[in-house]
Amino acid sequence: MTDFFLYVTVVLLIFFGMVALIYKRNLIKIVIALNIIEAGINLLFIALAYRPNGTAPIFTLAPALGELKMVLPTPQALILTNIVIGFGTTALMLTLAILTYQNNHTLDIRKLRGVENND
Amino acid sequence: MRLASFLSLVLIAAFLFVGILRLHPVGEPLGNPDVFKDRGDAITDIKNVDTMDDYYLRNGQTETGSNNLVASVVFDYRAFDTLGEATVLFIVVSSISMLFFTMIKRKGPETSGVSRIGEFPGGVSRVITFGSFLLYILIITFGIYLVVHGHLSPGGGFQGGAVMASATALLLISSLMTRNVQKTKKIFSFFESLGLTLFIGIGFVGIGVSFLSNFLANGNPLLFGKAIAFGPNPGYLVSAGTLPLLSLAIGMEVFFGLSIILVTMYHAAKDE
Repeated sequence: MTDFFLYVTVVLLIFFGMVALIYKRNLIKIVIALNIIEAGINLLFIALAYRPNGTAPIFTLAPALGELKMVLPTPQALILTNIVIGFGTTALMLTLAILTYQNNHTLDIRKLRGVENND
Repeated sequence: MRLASFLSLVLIAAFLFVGILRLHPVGEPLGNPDVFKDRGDAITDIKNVDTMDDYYLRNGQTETGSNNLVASVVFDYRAFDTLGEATVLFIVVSSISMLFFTMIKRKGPETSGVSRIGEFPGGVSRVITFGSFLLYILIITFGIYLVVHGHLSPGGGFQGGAVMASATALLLISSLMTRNVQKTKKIFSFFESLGLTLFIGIGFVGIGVSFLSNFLANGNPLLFGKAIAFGPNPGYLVSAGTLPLLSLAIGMEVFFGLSIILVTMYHAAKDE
């Protein structure tokens, strides 16, 4: 039953990310909110693949075959690539935030009503 | 408007909680937890598994010759996914370079040429630059180790590339990478494109079977084809077929791609 709280943590991470995504006005905070949601999704995949007393799915220096238990490899592979992709997309979002600030001199999304002097 | 956002949040929370009630309990994923018990030294028995992950756990080592099953999934069974993710990274790097290029252009010619990165007021202490240089060598060595041993120990192209890119960040903040940022970016982008091209090229070499098939595994021991026994063992550096080569290509692409992002963003922040 206590293991169930791992899923609750996932839900809380995604939920708080959504709250920040909806209620925050600063673009940088929105990027942070998306990163929190991404962390929740990563945790969900790792929790889905978990086995008690399981080692990492690597045979080097693993216990003998009799007592060998491994966590599932595929979700780990997906999360492995997702971390690097998350880095890239975060960098792209921050780039867009920087350009927005340079054009409008604000990061508040409620003040972004189009560009007046679009030269 | 606030009511609508509040209601949508309540709806999201309800969906999420209903969703986790339908998931399997933590620690009991689908498949046989004793997947290694009944096998022993028997020949690969594909029929005796329930799920895809059990198939990878039982047959991944003998089929690909890789001790690291995560690497065998990333670079062999699901290499096409990895190609897609490498392409996403490539597009992200291209977009960031393009966006900042227009920004630098708009500022006028005086800041678009050779940058003045590293001209901190008063300069940087020699202790910092020399220490960063020593650390740079160590970090790059560790990153290369992670990339080359990706099929034997925890590591692989993505992790090794990210580790090496952190060395680039160290060079930037210690103002060692100061001269000719445009030239540096050109060299980096050449090697980044080379990494992705190598990945696709290795994929096309195996097209006799299928795109990105591991045609070198369990073949010639001189060409990364040394066969590996099932079960826990140290493994060989020359096993796993095309897997170390693909890992090297991805490591190259990730390292130089993330380095381009870092150099570009640092350049733009410095010119403010």
